[in-house]
Amino acid sequence: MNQLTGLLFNDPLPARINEGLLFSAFFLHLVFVLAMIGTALISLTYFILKRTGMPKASRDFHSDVMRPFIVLEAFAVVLGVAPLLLIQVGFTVSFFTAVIFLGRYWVSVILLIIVALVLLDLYENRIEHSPAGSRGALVLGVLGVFSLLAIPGVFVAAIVVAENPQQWAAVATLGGRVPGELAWLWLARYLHVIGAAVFVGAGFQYLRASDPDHKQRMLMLMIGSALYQGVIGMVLLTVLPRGVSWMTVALLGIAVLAVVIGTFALALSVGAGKPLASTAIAAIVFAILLPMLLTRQSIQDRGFRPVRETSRKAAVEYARDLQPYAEPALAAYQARLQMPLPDGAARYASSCQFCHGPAADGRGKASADLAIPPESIRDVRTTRAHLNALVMSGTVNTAMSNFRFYTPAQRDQIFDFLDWQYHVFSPPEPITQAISADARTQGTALWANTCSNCHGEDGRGSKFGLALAPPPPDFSQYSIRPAAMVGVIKDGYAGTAMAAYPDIPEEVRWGLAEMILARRVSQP
Amino acid sequence: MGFPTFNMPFIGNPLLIAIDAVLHVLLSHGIAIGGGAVIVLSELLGQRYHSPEWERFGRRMIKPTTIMIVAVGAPTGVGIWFITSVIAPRAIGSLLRLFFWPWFIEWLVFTLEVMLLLIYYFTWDRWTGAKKRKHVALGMTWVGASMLTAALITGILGFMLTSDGWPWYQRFAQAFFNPSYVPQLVLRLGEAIFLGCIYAVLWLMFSKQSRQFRQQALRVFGRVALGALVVVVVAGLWYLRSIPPVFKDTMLASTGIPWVVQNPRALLLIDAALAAVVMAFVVFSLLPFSRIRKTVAIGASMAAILFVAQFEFLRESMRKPYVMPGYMYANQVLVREQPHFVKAGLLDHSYWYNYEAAGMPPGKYLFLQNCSRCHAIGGFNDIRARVAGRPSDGIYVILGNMDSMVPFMPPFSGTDRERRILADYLYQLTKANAASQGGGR
Repeated sequence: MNQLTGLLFNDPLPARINEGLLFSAFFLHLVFVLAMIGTALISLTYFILKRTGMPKASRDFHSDVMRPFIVLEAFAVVLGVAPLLLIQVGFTVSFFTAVIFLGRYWVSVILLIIVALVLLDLYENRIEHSPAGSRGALVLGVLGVFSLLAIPGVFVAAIVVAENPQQWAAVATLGGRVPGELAWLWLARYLHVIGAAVFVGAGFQYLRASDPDHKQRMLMLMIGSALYQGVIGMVLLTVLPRGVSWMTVALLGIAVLAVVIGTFALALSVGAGKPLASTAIAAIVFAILLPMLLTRQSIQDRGFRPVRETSRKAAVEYARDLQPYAEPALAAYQARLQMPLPDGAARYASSCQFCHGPAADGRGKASADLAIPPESIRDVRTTRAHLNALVMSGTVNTAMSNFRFYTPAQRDQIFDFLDWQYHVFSPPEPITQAISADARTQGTALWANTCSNCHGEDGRGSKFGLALAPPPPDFSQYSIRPAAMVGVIKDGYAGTAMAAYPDIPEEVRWGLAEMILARRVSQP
Repeated sequence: MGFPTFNMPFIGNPLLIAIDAVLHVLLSHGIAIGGGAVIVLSELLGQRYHSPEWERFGRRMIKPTTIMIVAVGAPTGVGIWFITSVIAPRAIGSLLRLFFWPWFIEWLVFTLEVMLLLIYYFTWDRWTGAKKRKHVALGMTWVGASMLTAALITGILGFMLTSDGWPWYQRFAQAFFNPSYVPQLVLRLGEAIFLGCIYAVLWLMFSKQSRQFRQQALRVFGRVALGALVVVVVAGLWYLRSIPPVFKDTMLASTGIPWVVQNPRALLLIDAALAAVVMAFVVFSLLPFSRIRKTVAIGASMAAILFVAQFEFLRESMRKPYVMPGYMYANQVLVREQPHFVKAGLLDHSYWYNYEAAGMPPGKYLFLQNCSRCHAIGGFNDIRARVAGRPSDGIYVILGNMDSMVPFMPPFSGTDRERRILADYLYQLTKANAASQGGGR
């Protein structure tokens, strides 16, 4: 197991400080997220009630409610950055593993956030300027809220997966889908988050409201959402992991107590018809939210901390394994940095030599691994245009790749080098061997009956030949040194359709070489 | 390796991050910094010359600008983080730790920036009369905070190309204040102001203004744009000088776009044409007798967007084969880890292999780990196009010499047997195409 390597193993902060910061930053982030979602839900509900002609919602609450949305969204986004940073460095393995498993959903969150925020900002703008509201505003609001509600779904899923490392193998085997057990946990927690959003959103709107009617309705909404949270909380208890610590139980007890007392206080004030002081509402919201989140945190730590410890231990060992390679790796990097801009020789050495060899004779270190041996470039006589075409396309069914990653100028550097060193663009060397008339006649017959089947009468390759992989070379543009040609005729070219013809007499082979050279059209 | 693998459906991993990042650069530079600067400038001119038209011009821009910054600019920035978390967890995780404090401070400054922006926005109509000066000062502080966030992030971007002495000495200061840091920061700030001017001119063109004000405002933004353009050109050349030659050599090739590599002159011509459009925009704004055409303004904004995208694309390509030079290759393998994988094997050291690879050929897993940060199967930088026509043994040889043959590619991580497996997998992947792919000789 080598999940933490190198830098991933350096902790910029002590673990406890990171955890404390993470909790605080997440708390802040969550308050704004919940208030934002709650606000959008409340505004849209008012708006729909207004449009359906419910008499109670005749005032422009939907617009009033929505006005601070841009502040809430701004802080929800901005304050989300810190928890992201802290969880990535604090619980690296848990975080990355979970979000990668849910990768498709995770990256789609960006689009969802942008769509939701832009739509809801446009919705706010519409209802601000025409309070009566239009169908367009309704569409914007509904689509916006719909996208907004999808966002916590993804985050809750990521947290649920991250907190349950015992299920990771199952998630991986399912190819990123969440097994049934986690899916139920996800659903319950998601519904819990939405309930919390309504509760916090209503509390926030209560603080802002001046109209007593509106205030009263926000109180009712808080009570309603608190009761809903109680029901979902029961469901959550049944899907929680077994064997939680006493700490968790105690925190949960406090949280439940806070809910009961808080709801009771809210109900009393509604019954008495007297609005509660703003500080009291804020206190109730925070008194409930804080122990709830601490409970959540202590359950999360159960899943996060052991993973951190085991991966750290493994990392120490792995770092030791890698130590011997550190020095040479740095030395190689330094050499690379100090390399001057490569010239043709340097480019040949890095890109061609491992196959074609340091002497360009086709005997590179990798040539033994290839069924079709690399060409001996030093024997080649061709034109720049032809060589360029060859290098640009590569040769089918051989290791000769296309070198389209070199610019024309860079390829020219290599060609210049090959010409300077091996004269590849010089005219073919003439044949000095004496060839009798009889051998020439035999050669002509052989060419017509055998060679031309693949090479074509004119040496450019027959239709059949060009369909071969690799196809024969184009003798009108290209040849190799006569002695090499005679060698290929005798021994064939391994791995290709070019068979060996050891029975052809030596002199006739030279005759054939002469015929091939005669087919050369283009001269350098 | 240590984390599961992710493969973005349809568009592939490389394009996913490119789209989000370019969008973010346009918004964070052009709207958050540049847009902010032109709005505050408009307010300042309104106050100085008692011009209600300047004042109204800035006021009109502030709400849409705020929405763009908050609802699109910020999420795309976080989006870079989200996306890299799933496609390159080791790289982003390592960068986060190395640059934890700049990132943390950047978050504080970013929070401050957004707070200032919101206060600036909500107090525009309230802080009038004697308090107007204060409001302008608030606006300047907001723009200053935006610039500071750029200053904090650019150190990290610079490091990803010029890591300086960090691989040897691990000194934070060397990593952050690396050789390409200052030129890149100046370049980005100039770019931001220039984009801001284009943003302002587009507003000017497409909103109802008096002819006189439009002429006057055009001259102001034209002058600022000219200044910014000079900064961009000078800082751009300075930036190029700070990059080691070995990276510059593969600048075009590492983009993975064959047309660009094969037609550097055509690219130069296109860029020259784009530059001409940008210059025309500046000149038309400055000439007193010339009425700038809407098409020139739109053309210039398109040209500027293409330049920005091109710069970010080249910058991100040029650093290959590394994501953190001297430390980590673009495929997430540590430089010191690669020889270890050659000896000990990648599959055996891939924690999730046994689970994830259920129903997945090991070759595909090796592809995902070794290649998928840059190559996709289909889509951009299609691996099938790269190995088409090569037999299995040829691919095997190429894989074994990849970093030498293609200088901007990392070496293969894995044993000889694994190299064979990957070669066979890639061969099977392309076999169908190989026959139809017309080849040379």
